[in-house]
Amino acid sequence: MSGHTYDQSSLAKRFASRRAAKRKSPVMRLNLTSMIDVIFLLLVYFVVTANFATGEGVLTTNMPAKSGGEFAIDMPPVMPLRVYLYADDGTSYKIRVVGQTEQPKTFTELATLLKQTSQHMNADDPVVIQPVGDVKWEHVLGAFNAAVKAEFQNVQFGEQTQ
Amino acid sequence: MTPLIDVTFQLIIFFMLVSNLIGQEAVPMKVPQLADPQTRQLGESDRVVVNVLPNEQSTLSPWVQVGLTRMRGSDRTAIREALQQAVSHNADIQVVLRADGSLNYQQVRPIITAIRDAGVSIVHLVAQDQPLPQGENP
Repeated sequence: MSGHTYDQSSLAKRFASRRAAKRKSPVMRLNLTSMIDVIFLLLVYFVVTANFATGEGVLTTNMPAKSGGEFAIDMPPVMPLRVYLYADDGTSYKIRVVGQTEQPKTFTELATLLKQTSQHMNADDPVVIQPVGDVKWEHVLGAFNAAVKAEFQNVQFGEQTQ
Repeated sequence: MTPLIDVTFQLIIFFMLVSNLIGQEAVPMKVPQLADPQTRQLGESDRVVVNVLPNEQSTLSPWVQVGLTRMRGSDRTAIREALQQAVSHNADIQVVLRADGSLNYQQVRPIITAIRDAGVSIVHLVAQDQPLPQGENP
């Protein structure tokens, strides 16, 4: 029995030394979860905001070949369909489509009229937007948009006349 | 774990820099809003952004920013040269033209002429994606 008996003080010493050893080499564990959460949030934010000017789109046009005068359009083989834009006053406009008796009042009506006209034309026949006077850029782009809506593929800007 | 964090930080830095550059190229302005816009999103292509902004001091000469360089709209030679430089690097370069909706065509027309004279063949005209509310005309 005496072989199985331990001296109380030696046992206490042994446990104390084990505790001291544990205290000397603690296992440091860094909690990375929250950090990764924040990093991914930042990443998603920058990915989303890196888009080109959100809320904007483009209408594509081909520039006519450079030829002498300003905005001179190379003589196309087919007579272009001309859409005249007049500045009524500072904010409004008037539209005149050459060869049409009933003229559109809005760009939505212009798109409908051009769509009807396009049935007798080819999609690559030229359409020329011809601003007259102080027409706003917004209105010129509105007429361009109407021609694109009518599925014309060759829309150009004519020389501005006074 | 360490390589993952490394890569993620690299991505964050990349997007921070890119968004910063894009922000400087696309100057805040009110681009035209159309009744039924037929606009599309621009895909990846080599392009240069040309901004045309109103100038309170001169109605005939708006501010023009080609890429990150700002100049007067009346200085058409400088605009053309800046674009020609871009064309000399890439002959197929496309121009994104952002012009304020309040400008007159008279103010934008010389810029389009300068773009054409620089040898650019494709121009993307920027408008808002959102259509005008029903009943409103541009």
